[in-house]
Formats: sequence, structure tokens, C-alpha cells
Amino acid sequence: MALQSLDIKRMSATTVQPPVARSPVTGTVAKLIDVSKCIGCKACQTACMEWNDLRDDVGSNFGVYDNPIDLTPQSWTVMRFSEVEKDDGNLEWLIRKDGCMHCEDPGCLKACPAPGAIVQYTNGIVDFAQENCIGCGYCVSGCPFDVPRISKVDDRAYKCTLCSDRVAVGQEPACVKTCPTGAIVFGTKEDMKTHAAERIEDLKSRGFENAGLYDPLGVGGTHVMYVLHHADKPTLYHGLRANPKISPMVGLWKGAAKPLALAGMAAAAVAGWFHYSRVGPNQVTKVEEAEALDAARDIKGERKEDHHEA
Amino acid sequence: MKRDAAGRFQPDVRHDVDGNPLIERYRPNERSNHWVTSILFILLAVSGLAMFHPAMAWMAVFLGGGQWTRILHPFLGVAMFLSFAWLVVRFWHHNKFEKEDKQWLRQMGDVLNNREENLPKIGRYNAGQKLLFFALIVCMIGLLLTGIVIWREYFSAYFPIGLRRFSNLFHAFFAFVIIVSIIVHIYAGLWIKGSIGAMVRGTVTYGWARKHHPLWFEQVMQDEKRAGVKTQTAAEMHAAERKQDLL
Amino acid sequence: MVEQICGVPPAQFQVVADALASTAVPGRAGTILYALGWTHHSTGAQTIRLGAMVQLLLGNIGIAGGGMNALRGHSNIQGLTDLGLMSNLLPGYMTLPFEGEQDFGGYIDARASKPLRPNQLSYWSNYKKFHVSLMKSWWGDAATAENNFAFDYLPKLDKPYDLLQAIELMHQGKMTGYICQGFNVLASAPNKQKVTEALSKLKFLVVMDPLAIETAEFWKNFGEFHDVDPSKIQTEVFRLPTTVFAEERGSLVSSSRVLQWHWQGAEPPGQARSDLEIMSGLFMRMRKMYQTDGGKFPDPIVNLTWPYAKPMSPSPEELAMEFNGKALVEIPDPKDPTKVLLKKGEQVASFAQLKDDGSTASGCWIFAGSWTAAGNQMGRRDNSDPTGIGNTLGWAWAWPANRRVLYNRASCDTKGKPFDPTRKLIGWNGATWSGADIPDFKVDEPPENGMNPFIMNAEGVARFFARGMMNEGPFPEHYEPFENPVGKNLMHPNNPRATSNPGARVFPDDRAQFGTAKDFPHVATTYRLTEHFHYWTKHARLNAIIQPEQFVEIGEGLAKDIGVVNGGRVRVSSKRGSIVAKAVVTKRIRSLKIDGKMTHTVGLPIHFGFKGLTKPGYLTNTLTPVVGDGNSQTPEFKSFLVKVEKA
Repeated sequence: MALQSLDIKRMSATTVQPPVARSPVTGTVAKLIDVSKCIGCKACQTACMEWNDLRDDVGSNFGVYDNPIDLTPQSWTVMRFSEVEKDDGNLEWLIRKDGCMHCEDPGCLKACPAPGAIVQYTNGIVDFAQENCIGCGYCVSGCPFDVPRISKVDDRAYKCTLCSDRVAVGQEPACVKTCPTGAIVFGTKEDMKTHAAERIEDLKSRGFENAGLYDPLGVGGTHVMYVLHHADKPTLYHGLRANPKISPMVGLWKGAAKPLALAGMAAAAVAGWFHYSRVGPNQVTKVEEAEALDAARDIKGERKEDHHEA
Repeated sequence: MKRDAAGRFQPDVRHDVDGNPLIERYRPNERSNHWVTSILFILLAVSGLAMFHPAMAWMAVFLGGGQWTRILHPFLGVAMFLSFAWLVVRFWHHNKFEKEDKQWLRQMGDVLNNREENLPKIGRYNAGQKLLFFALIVCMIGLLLTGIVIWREYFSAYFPIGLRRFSNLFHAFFAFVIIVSIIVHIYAGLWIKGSIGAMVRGTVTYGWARKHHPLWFEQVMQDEKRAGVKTQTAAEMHAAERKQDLL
Repeated sequence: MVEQICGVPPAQFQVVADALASTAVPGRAGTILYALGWTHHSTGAQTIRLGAMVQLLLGNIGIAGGGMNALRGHSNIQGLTDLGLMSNLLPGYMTLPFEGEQDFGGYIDARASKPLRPNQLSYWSNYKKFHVSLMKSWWGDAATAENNFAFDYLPKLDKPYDLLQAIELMHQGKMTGYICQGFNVLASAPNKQKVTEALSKLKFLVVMDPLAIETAEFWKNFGEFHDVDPSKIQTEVFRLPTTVFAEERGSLVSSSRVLQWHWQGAEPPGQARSDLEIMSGLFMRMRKMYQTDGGKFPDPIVNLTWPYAKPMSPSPEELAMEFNGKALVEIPDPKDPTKVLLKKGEQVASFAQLKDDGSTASGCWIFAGSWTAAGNQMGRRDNSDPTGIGNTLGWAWAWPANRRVLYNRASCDTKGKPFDPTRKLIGWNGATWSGADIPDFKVDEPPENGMNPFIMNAEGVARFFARGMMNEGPFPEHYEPFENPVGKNLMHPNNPRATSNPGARVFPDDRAQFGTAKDFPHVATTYRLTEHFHYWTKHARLNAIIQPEQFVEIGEGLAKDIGVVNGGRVRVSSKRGSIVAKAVVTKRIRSLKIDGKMTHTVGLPIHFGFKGLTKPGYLTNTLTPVVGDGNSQTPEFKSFLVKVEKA
């Protein structure tokens, strides 16, 4: 982890809240990806690999421009290409940079059972601390966007860190720095929303009536946001989820189920204690043993006298 | 007590410390099968709880830390399932529901307050034990199936995310049920004195059998009659042996 | 007619035409940015000329946001042509003499066009100054007024010696040695089979490259990707590892003619040497051999100036200063002979100071001003843009004379007032021209004198009617590519000789290898991806990861016709060879109705080959035809015929 302990807002698998005295006056950070400006050049993928010292395998072509074909432990961001034919016969090649959305209410953190393996900083970045990761894959269940990937080499989960190490020293993430069209920008979430509003106005003036900002409230908003030409149909962009939220099953499992189950188990044990101390043990008395012997002899047809001979 | 060829005294296995004659309730292999299952259960409960609730995350230390907990838990789970399956095969026919079981359950107040004399005569296992048996079967199967779906190392990738989330939730649910069931099972063993001995030494007294499982007691006595086993306290048995020796 | 020939519906064409036409008024501007999509055709030069004509009609030349702008493909391809590295050029877009131009005076007269109208600048009229300064730069004291400044040292062209010509000569066994410098000829030239045969006939091949390229191993068998029998190839191949641009310092010239000096980023690995060192080593050895052994006409070699501090390793700085030019003797101020304009040996400040009497030297007249007495102008990094128009005159240095928009006089009316005052490049202030740009004009010439903006032309205006200089004719004309789906030119359906460019040069063997639509019914075009650069980046791991394997792109119509699903494999064949690759089925490639018939196109990204980190693939030039543009000989890579089948 790059930041000091006071900059952590939430930690996975902990029962107490971290110290909250210090929180950024300028608010949280956000990365804004303007899909309307993206040309799918993959400079961001390359910069991410360079900055984070990642090298994926040289894969294959599966009939699409997406390379690699999916996020992996060594590819923390991938471009997803969708060809969409419009009613007027024109074609839109929608290219979306996929990766961690850095949710304000992170499902991965909620699901994670390993203390400190997933942290959320006060600036909004959700980071994996792989040294604490146990490789269980619960984060995959928790994530509404199918982002974390577990490495087969070291059994740890990996994803985009929003360059928390660069941000900690006042630099922009590597993908932001390298984007040649300025489709990816970075700053406070407030500033990014303001900038997005200007972009949306521009897009609307050019015929994209449904242009808008993708900052889904179902996960509390995200620190990676998209400006979309068609904000009313996010699924056009290679299946970007329209109303993402943490699955209610995960919400229950890592929510109410925890205290209820604990209480239930404790109650069972305590109930036993109180039953024992109220009702007492169930013992077989000497009289009951003797009665049993008599009954046995009866069943077997033995006479009592036979045994008094000794 | 008998002496062996070297003159050493042989312990008497057919009577308890008070000299009461004993009936065999569990053979050695049955007991080991049970204990293998139990030990595995403890390890699984500890490791499972560590991954379920942050307050118990420290318990991962018992299996060697977080990664090892995650690695071993599913293997242990499969082992427990197999061991338990074998127990099921062994005891299946003892756990069929009979007509007296319903009545026994209706009189739960008598059961809990040690008023066994009011209860209908039952066989080798009471309705509570039978319910545990079936609850465990359901839980074991549920845990195995959901466990495979969430066994990330080998299997999770083959299943859709909705099924994985469902399995995460229900694995926890079945685990909760099984843990509570075993808490009750362990408590019952502690409460009904003599039960631990059944599973540790394999034997119970005539009194224990007649008091808690009268129909089973009668059946065993019929078997002993056919086998020609005499009803003797320890004192009676030693007296008979001395008499034999003197003859 | 456009729809019939090109498949573009009139309504859509109208949208484009309207948008472009709307830039005809002051306050609106349109630019045309073209690249290989226009140049890689046998009619490329005429297409570009047509674009220029349209821009002239729209008033888009010489204004901010306008222009006819080539997007060059390599970082220094502009530098390559500026320095005259085409086979018919001399530096600064001067030309080599032809065989028939044995007379120096005639050579100069043909190029130093005198003004055809009063008061026109016709700046090529200064040709002799540029030429003599160049010859002084190359041959120093051996170039004198007496020997026409070593005019006889220059080769006289009997024919163009472009790439296709060179390969043809190799193929005929007439060129027996080849130095392939920073070029992967096996990959980049059309008809890979022909190139393979050509290289196989060489006595020696020298490959100078930082990468292990296919050309250097053309003699090795790579299975289906390159099926040759090494035992039948006798060529001796030398592979000399060179530095890459990041391991060198020097200037790169961008598409907007800006010379930017860059500094060295890393040391070269192992025994890699810079091209400068390798060329110097070759030259020094050759000169010695000519000096000791003599030979046929050694003068141009042995008399070449070589004034570098380290003869085996000339520095980029020394070369840059040489290109700029200097005074060879003290030059007095023409306005006041008592004053000195340039001291002996001083760098010239601009090409206006060059002389035709041998008193100045300049390796490239258009670069004059790039390294003056004030130092390296190309290293300046002031990016201030005070007017906000987008001109950063203090950032590096552009030729000519740091003018950023050529013909910017055309941004003003006949009175010297800008057509669009809100976007003023230059304007007449009563005494001089000035503004956000350096005037591409005589700076003190009043507008009322009638000097026109196109200062390189003898008339001072641009030409709709081309007086020479274009091989086909005075106006552009539509011709079909040499392999075309229709089999005729729909504008001249009854004249088979007008089907394809009559001004193009086609070698007989190459013509025999043209296919027809009967055997090859699909149209192919080659292009580039963003993830790769030519045949270099397949050697780079990061690039290979983001685009790992060869693919071709077909439309949904063609895919359905041949029964191929996305990700399946296809065979693409032409008269010259065939390749097999994964198919990307895309909506982006539409089937076009050409002459009433549904015509399918297959797109061929070029970047793959059998060396490097990407999955092994075929060189796409296995398929391409050997025919070039009628003027530049740039090969027609962008439109030819193939057959696409399921593999």
C-alpha cells in the first residue's frame, strides 16, 4: 500500500471502522473516460503494462480487435469494441476502456474475507493489497462489473489500482498521461463531473441527444466514470451494465447473514449451557442399572438365584 | 480379573468402572469413521468461519494462515463428505422414521426435562437423532454442491456468476445449519451421560440402553440370549471365574 | 456516375460535398489530410492534385485551418524527401539532371523559372544559388566556376531508379548488389515472390537495421510463410545492426515541416552502430581504395568534402550545420559594402543569403535558417501561442524560414487585408507584412504591386492547367486501378486503353501477373492498425500483446457468401500468391454496388510476418501487384483483386 493508515476509509474483513479524522477537503478523485473521444489505440493498455511492470502473454485473434480478449491478472485494462448499426444506416464503432470502476460502495470489499486485502482510500480509490489476499475469489462474486482476476501463478486477485502509487505523489494515472486524444482525464470527482457536463453539452449539440454521464448510483457512484454518446443504452458498449449494484445475494451473505449466523450459533451454545444448568445432566442411576439387569435376566430367562452362588 | 500367560492382569472390557455389564453400541471402525468426520468438521467449521466473519478471521491461523485456509478447506470438505457418506451407508437403516417418532417429538417437553419415563418406547435412535441424521445429509450435500461451485481454484470458472453468488450465500446457510446442528449434537452427547462413552469406548451399560432406547435394549438382550451371554455384574463374573479356577 | 463507379449513394456524397463546400466563405476553413489512402494508387499524384484544385477553388490554401496536407507515415519521412533521398532528387527538392542535360546552363535554365508576369517572385529563379551552394557543400574546392561547380560529377538519369525499378533490375540480374538501409524490402515491396527471386540473384545484400528483419533472412525457409530452398540461394548476406532513433540525436521533420531536434534517450546495445558511422566507414574505405587503386571516374568519390572532426563518425551537429549552410569567404552587405554581412565560415541566416558564385555552401537550401550563428533553432522549446491561432513560432524551426503555413499571402485580399480578421496569419501594415506567422512572401512588397501568393510559380498563381510536371496530362482524370472488379473504366467504357493510368510504367513481367475479376472476384486493400507500426512493432512485446495475430477483415455479406464465421480462417489469393489468416467479420466493411454488382472488399492489415513476437504470419505483399503511380512510382497497394475462400 502506498498511503498512510489515516487515508484508509474502509478495509475488507474488519469489524471496526478505520480512523476517519482526515478526509480530503477537495473531495475524492475520479478518472473520466470520454468514449466519444476514444480511438481504441490501446496506448492506455500499454502504459498500464509499462507502469505496473505487467506483461501478458501474446495471445491469439478471436475475430475481434479486443486484445487480450478479456481482463487478466496481467492485463488490468482492455479495450472492448462493439460495432453498432444505427437506424439511419450509419455505423458506430463504440470502443470502451474496461477495467475497475472504483465503486464508492465496493462489492469486492464487501465480499472479501481476508482482513486488509481490499482497501478503499479516502480519495475513493479501491486497491487490492495482494500480500493479504487469500485467493478465494469472493471479490469476483461481489463485483457487479466482473473485474477482479485471480492469478494462477500466485493465487492473488488483481485489478486496476487507479495508479494509487502515482496519485499518492500527485501524478495522474499512467493511462491518463498517455492517452493521445485526451479521452481519459483525471482530477477531483467534482471537476470531472463539471468537465463531463461540458462534453455532454457538446455531444448533444452534435446530434447525440442521449449523451450523458455514467456514474451509477446503484454502487454509490464510481470513481471511474464514462461520458457516453448513448447514456440511455449503456449495454451497447460491450455489455456495460445498465443498473449495476451489488447482488442482493452478496448483500445478504456479507450483510445481515453475518451477525445473524453468529448470534444463532452463540445462542445455540448458550442455550445448551442454560439448559444444563437448569435441567441438569441426564444420568443413569444405580437403581436404573439394577432394574436393567433384572429386565435383562427376564428377557433372557435367567433366574436371579443363579447369580447368588458366588 | 483374568491373568495372561505372563501373569499380568487383563482389564475387563465387558464392565464399566462400577462393575455394570456393557453392551457394544459402536464397533471400532464405526467410531473411527465418526471421529474422522468430526475432526474434519471442526477444521472445516474453524476455517469456514474464518472466511465467513471478520471477527473470526483470526481462526485462519489453525490451518496455517489465509491462503492455506482457502486451499485446504475444500479438500477437507470433500474428505468430510466422503467420510460422512460412509457413515450414512452404515447407519441408514437405523434412522428410518417409525410410528413412535412422531409421538416422541410431540412430547419434547418430557425429553428436555429428563422425564423419559413418559416417552413412548423407541429403538436404537430417537426422533431427534434421526432428524439430525437427515439434516446432516441435506447440509452435507448442499455444502458439497455449493462448495464445488465456489471452489475457485478448479471449478468456479465453469459456472455462471449468478450461480456462484447463490452458492456463496447458500454455502454459508448450510454451514450455519450444520454448525448449529452439531452444537446441539455435541450438547446432547454431554447432557445424556454415557453417550460419550458410546462413541469413545464403543459401549453402554444395560441401564443406559434400557433407559434411553428401550426397544433397542430388548433387541440386544434377545441377541445375547441367542448367543448365550449371561447377565452378570463384574463382581458376579469374577466370582464365577474364581469358582471355575478352583474347580 | 459516381455511385456507379464508387458505390457511394448520391445523398451521402451530397452531405460530404455540402460540408466541404461550406468552407468556401471567409470565417470557415477546410483542410484535407491525406496519407497512404491517396498515395498508394496508380493515380495517387493526380488524386492529390485534384484535392489541391478543390482547395484552391474553396479558398482554403494558405489560410489558418486550411491546406492540402500530407500526413507523413514515418517520423522523418518528411526529412527524407526534404534531403532529396528519392532517386531523382537533390536536397531541397532540386532534381538530378537527365541524360540529355549534359549542359549545365541548360540544366539551370530549365529549372530557374523566370517570372512570367510582372512583379512575380518566381522564387525558383534563384535555383542556381541553391544548386551551386549544394555543390560547394559536397565538393568544396573541387567545385569551381571553371568546371561548372562539378556539374559533371552528378549522375544523369536515363530513367527513374525508384524501388520498383531497382527490384526489376535485380530480378533481371542487372543490379547485383544491394544495400538495404533501414528498410524491410521483402515485407514492404509489392509481390513478395518477385522480391524473393530478385534478392536470390544478388551477389551480396547488406541489411542495416536494428531488428532481425525478414529481408535479412530471405534465404531461410519459414514453412508456409516463406517457402524457399536455401541450397539454391547464393546471395551473401551481411547483417549490420544499427541504432534506433531513440539511441541517436538529431532532427526529425514532421508533416508540418517542423524540424525538431531530439536528444539521445539510451545507449545502443552491443555492437550496434549508427547509420552515420556505418556509411562513413564504407565511404572512407571506398575513398582509400579509389585513391590507391584508381578506377572509372574516381573524382566524385575522392573529391567529396569530409570535414568532420571524427571522419569515421560525423556528428549530427556537424551535419545539421552543413545543411544550413555557411559563407565560404567574407561576404559584404549588398546594401552597404563597408559592412560585412557574413564573416568567413559563419552560418547563413537564410536562403536569401545564398550565392551562385561559389562563395556560399549549403547542404539543403530549404534548411537554411535551422542552424544559424545564433545556434540550433531546432532545439527551441518555446510553445507560446500569443494570438491563440495555433502557431508556435518559438517551438523548434520550420522550413522555409520558419514559415508555418505555406502561401499564407493567400489568406489576405488584394489589398493585404486578411479575409478572416479573427484568424489573421499575416497582414500588410503599410510597411511590411506581419502577423501570427512568418510571411511566405517578400516581406516588404506592397500589395498594390500585384505580387501573387504562389511565389514558387513563375505566374505567381496556382495552376489548374498543369504545364508539364504530370505524366498523365494537364487535368486529373478517373482511371481504374490496374486490377479492378469492373474490367473497364465506366467513364470510357469503350476505350480499353483508358481503363487504367496510361501514364503508369508497367514492366512486362509484372503486367503478365495482373489478375482479372473472373478469377479474383473480390477487391483487396491493405492498411494499417493503430497497435502496430509497419513491420517494426511486431518485434515489441507490448505491441504484440495488444495485437498478437494476423487477421483479415471481411464484411458480413462476403462472410455469408463463403461460409465463414467470425474468428474462422480464410485463404486470400491473388495472381501472385496466397495467404491464410483469421477472419474478422465486421460491419465496418460494406459491400458496394459497383456498376450494379455487389462487390466485396477484404481488408488486409499489413503488420505481420514471420519474424518477431507476434504469432507467425504471412507478409501481405505476397498478394500485391507491381505497378506504381504514374509520377512517383509509389506502388498500388490499396486496390487490387483477390479471391477469398474459407480455409
